[in-house]
Amino acid sequence: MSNVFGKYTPYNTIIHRLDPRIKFFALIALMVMCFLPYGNYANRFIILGILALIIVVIMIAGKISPLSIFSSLKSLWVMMIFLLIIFVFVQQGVDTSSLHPMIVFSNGYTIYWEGLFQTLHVFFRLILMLCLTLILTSTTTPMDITYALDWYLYPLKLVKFPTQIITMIISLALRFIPTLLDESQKIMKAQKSRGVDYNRGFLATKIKSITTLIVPLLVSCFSRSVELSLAMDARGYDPYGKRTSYKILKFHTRDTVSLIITLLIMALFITLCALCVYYPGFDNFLKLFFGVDAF
Amino acid sequence: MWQIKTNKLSFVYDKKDPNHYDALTDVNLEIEKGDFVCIVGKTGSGKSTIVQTFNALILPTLGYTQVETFYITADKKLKKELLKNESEEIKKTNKHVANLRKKVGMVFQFPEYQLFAETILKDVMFGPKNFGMKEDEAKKVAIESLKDVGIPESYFERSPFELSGGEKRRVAIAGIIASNPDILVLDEPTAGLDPNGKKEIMALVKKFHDSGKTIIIVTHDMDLVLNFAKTVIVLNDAKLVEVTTPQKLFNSENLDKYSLEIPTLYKFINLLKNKGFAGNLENIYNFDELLERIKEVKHV
Repeated sequence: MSNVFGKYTPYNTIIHRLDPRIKFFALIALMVMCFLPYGNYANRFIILGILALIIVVIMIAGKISPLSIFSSLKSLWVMMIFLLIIFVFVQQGVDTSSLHPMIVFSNGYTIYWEGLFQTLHVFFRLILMLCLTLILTSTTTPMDITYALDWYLYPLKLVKFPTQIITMIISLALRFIPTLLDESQKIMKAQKSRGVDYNRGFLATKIKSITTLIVPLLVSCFSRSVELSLAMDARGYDPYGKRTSYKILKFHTRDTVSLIITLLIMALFITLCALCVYYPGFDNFLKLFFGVDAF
Repeated sequence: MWQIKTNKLSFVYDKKDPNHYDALTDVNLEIEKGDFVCIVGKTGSGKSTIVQTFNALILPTLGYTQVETFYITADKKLKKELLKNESEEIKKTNKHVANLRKKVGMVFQFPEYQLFAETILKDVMFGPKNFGMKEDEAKKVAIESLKDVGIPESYFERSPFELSGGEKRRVAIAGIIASNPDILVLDEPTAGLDPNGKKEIMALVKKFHDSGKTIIIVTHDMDLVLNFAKTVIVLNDAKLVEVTTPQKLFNSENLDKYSLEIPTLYKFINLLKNKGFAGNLENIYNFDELLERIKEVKHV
């Protein structure tokens, strides 16, 4: 199979060896950091830039090529254009006195810089989020992710919520992603040799050619799940039974250290955010430090 | 005259992945027009990979595959160089991979997974229509090839998912031969079929071969190789090790080295030899000849 985006790669780096629970926590923490309000646009881009730097360092430590993200962005271009159009139009409704006009048409219709910046901002956050998930999935085996999830769901067990069923569903789903990818590749090859070209044609032809993939894939999905449930039954699976695990997650020094680093990074960004929100002047770094007027 | 040629063909899976592996290394091969070729070798020897380069579903990472005037390689520089001295027409054909796929029909292992349309007839018409046939024309060839594979007319408007495994496979094969390819490649066509199903499929392939087409089969079934193949290509550990006839292959000592099974005929002959059969058991190529030899002994 070709190199699937975000597929686990078995290197032996510090990031790979970290406890999956820590990685999961760090993923969520850093994602939240991406979404905090940091003042005006210049500020936001500076702070997201710092965050991006941290993420790139982690990616390099985990032997993931930061450039690989761009190959997967192809399909996101459509979304970006869509967002741009929406943001350009949405600006019209709000109070426009504080906005900066970019193009003014003869009939008074104005396109504002803010529309462009907002799109870039959303896109930037999206890329960072993609990078973060990429780090988790390509340095952690799907099984480890499930173990981590199981651990985080522990509080629900106290109220008799069947968490083991949820984790079983997730681990089965994760387990079958590569299988389905393999299968879809096989089906695509078979259809390609019948003359389907998945890369060419306009939307209507594309939708038509995608059905030649989806229908067989669904059919085999159903037959697979029936077989799987029979196999599980045959091996005595009881959804409500107590499950044991051969893998016991242990905390090492490196896990504690990386937890502390994550918390420090969180603290830094929350402070920045608080400063930007509550202290006037802080929401515009460029003006504060360099006297440059930015928006 | 060769129809398919490979030149220093190599292929590496997942080149950037730390656990990448070589699927094919430096394979030079020529396949004649109208030949019946079987490609054998143990699992992971690169059999499926090499046939997929014939259809440009896999592009060789080094070297190239050539099907008539169509060059297949992932190396863009090499392709440019190969096409430099060719005519305008050939350059034009090389631009569209559909021209190649029309020529080379590919039946995958478990082809029943490719069925998707609402009715059997529509599914079989799908290939020819993709290759530029008109609706009524496609319908005509679809009906013809469905009859060829032995699907009765009452089935045509049914859903392909209602069929049994063997029938599904025959419909899928009909979907390929409806486009009337010059070269038919089959990957394990008899896997998972009962003896009767196997016989039917192979009779179908034989019929297609008799109409002048080149057949290439990837298989583990040595009885099939002995009964049908004119040429056998043996791959071992990603390398081409032998191009020979089935008779020569099965009478040589190398079978064990390549982890190939002995066909039933030779198993039986070996058994006779071990039990001390008095007659001459050398140079027997099919069951009829063996029967003759056994009769000879009886007459003595």
